[in-house]
Amino acid sequence: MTDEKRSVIELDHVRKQYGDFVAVHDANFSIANGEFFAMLGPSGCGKTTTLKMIAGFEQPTSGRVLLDGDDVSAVPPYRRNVNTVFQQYALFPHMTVFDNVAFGPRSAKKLDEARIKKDVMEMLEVVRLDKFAHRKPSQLSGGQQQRVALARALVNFPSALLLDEPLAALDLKLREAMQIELKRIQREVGISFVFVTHDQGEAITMSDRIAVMSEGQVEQIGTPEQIYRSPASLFVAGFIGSANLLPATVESNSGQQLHVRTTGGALLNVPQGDATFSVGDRVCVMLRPERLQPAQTITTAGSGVEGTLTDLVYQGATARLIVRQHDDTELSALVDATSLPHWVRTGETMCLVWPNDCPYVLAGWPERAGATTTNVDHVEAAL
Amino acid sequence: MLARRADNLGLAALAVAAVCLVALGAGWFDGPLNALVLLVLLVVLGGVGVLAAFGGPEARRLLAPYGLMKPGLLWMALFFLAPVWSLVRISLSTKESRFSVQYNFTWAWDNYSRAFSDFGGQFQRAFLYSLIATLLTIVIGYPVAYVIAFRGGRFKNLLLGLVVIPFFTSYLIRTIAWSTILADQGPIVSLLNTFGLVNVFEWLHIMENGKLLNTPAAVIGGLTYNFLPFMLLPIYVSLEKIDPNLVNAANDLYSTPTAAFRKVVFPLSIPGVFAGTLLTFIPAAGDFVNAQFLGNPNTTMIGNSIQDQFLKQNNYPVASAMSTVLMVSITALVLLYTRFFGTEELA
Repeated sequence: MTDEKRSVIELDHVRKQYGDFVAVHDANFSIANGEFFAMLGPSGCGKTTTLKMIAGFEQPTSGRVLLDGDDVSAVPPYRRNVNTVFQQYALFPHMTVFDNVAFGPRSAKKLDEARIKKDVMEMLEVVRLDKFAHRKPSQLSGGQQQRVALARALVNFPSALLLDEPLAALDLKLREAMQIELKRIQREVGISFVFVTHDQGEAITMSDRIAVMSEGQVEQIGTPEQIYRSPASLFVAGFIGSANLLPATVESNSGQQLHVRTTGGALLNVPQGDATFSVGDRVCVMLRPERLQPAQTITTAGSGVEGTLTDLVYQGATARLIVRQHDDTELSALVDATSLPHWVRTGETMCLVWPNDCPYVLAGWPERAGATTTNVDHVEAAL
Repeated sequence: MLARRADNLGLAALAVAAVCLVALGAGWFDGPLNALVLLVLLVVLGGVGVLAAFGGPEARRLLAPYGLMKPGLLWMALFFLAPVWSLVRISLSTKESRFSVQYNFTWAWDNYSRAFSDFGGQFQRAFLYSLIATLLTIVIGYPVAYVIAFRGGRFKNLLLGLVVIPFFTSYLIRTIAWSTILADQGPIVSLLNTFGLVNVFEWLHIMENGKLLNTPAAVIGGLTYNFLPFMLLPIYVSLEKIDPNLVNAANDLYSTPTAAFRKVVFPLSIPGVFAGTLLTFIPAAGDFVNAQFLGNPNTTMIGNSIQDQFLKQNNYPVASAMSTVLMVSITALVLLYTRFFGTEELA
């Protein structure tokens, strides 16, 4: 392998506009060799357009796309050394699995047929479909078709593999298995994978780095942990995982600690974080549900809120508590289902408390206060 | 017991009913025997009806497919099989006298030798003209279908409508309209005269003696025009079904747009071309309208001769022999074509 840090794909201030509609504002990032990179965002955020510009199906309105250091902005897809796995796989229905996979090398005309045959069979082994070489795609299951699409792209040993929502058409269990399979294949071939998805769980599970996009803007690029722990914006905080977002106003600032009053009237102590806030600033306190614990009283002042338990959803290993505060904002907590105290009962008043390092402060107020995953319309609007 | 054999009974009843209808339609028997055949038909159909009504749900389930086939099959027996029987029979008959309408079945194979010897040219022309017309409809129709299917966008239905609109007018009127357009004093010939292109067109064998009308080209052109939608629409349907991402995938896998068309789009549209070819070639080979209005005595096709023998010469035996030959040879050609370009392998 060559230098791991070398960047394979570079987007240099790429902008894409259709008439008045700006699909991608200013995409400016690079993807390293061997990296598993996800572009994550709700539909219409510009992630697929960005992928198409890398593949060559769309040309940027301005800016440059660089592949292995060369400007390919105006190069047609059939002369770019990247390959795509399409959302519905786009396998050629009139060809066998073998001919589908051999399509790329045969079109490229760089290798003789014997070598192509060897490469194709090897790649079919990598995706564990060597026994299906002579079937037609219609005779395969969804997961098998998915792997044919992978093999068909990877057999060309592209600089990068582009995947457009590759798992969206699969069932949940199969999707989880394919996530692991994709990671295995990626490690085995060592090629950069650029992965477009609207499923944040998928992005977090599989990626080395994630670019979170919204309305054509790249909101944040970072490792899954960075993005989950310290989201750069309210959008990222709400989109990645589930979160409780409490709008608040800064009342005092002691350097490391902020005292904020939520719109519900509670006074909270929160760590300042990277940004600095001054008294009177509108901020948003983000609390991840899995860090909240039920309690009968708030033991540490400023590290808990009181409310009524409106729902207790048993989920097997965990249980989800929905606690409604006095101002009607709902908080969601994810707790261990096996050690649920007896006083946690729907309709009863209880408290939710959290450790000191749990709250994370962001600038601005959220559109909707409280848990991001309890309102169907709200969640749907985000996707 | 009867109920469990209901499917066999249904099949048998259907077969007997079909044979009865052919017998009645083709006039196998005279007078009173026909009444007997009718009785058998009614008894068989009535018997199945009774079995369906009182045989219980299992019998009804087994009978259902035959019940559904009944209207179509019996219709075909009466209006296709019976006439074909009569046609073949008359093609082997002789007339009692020249003006007689009485035919005697005499195994008169010489009707067939006359059909070949006297009308071999018409047969050849019919197949040649319809073959050229079919190829032309592919050449003209495919690109149009392609553009509508892949570039039509929200105008798809409008464009398809435009393709079909001329065909709201009667076939005859459209063909006669062409004879006006192609006439010696018509717009096209005048235009060609103005630009001095007549020589070029004559060299291309499209015009003869400065005329456009009443030439083989006019007949082939008329066939092409009249059968174009029957080629275009099936091709459109097969192209429309192709996922545009397949073209993207081919491009992504190092195929130029031309190669992508050759390797992906065209192979996937073959079922449409196949269906269009059958829908165009078969009726075009038997057509007589275009040769009559756009051709001359040297461009008559077999359809014209059959029409002439039936309606003007009143020579039913030879006309029937010609019809039978036409039918059999088209069937043979279609079978051959299906054998080589059959679409069963396609997904």
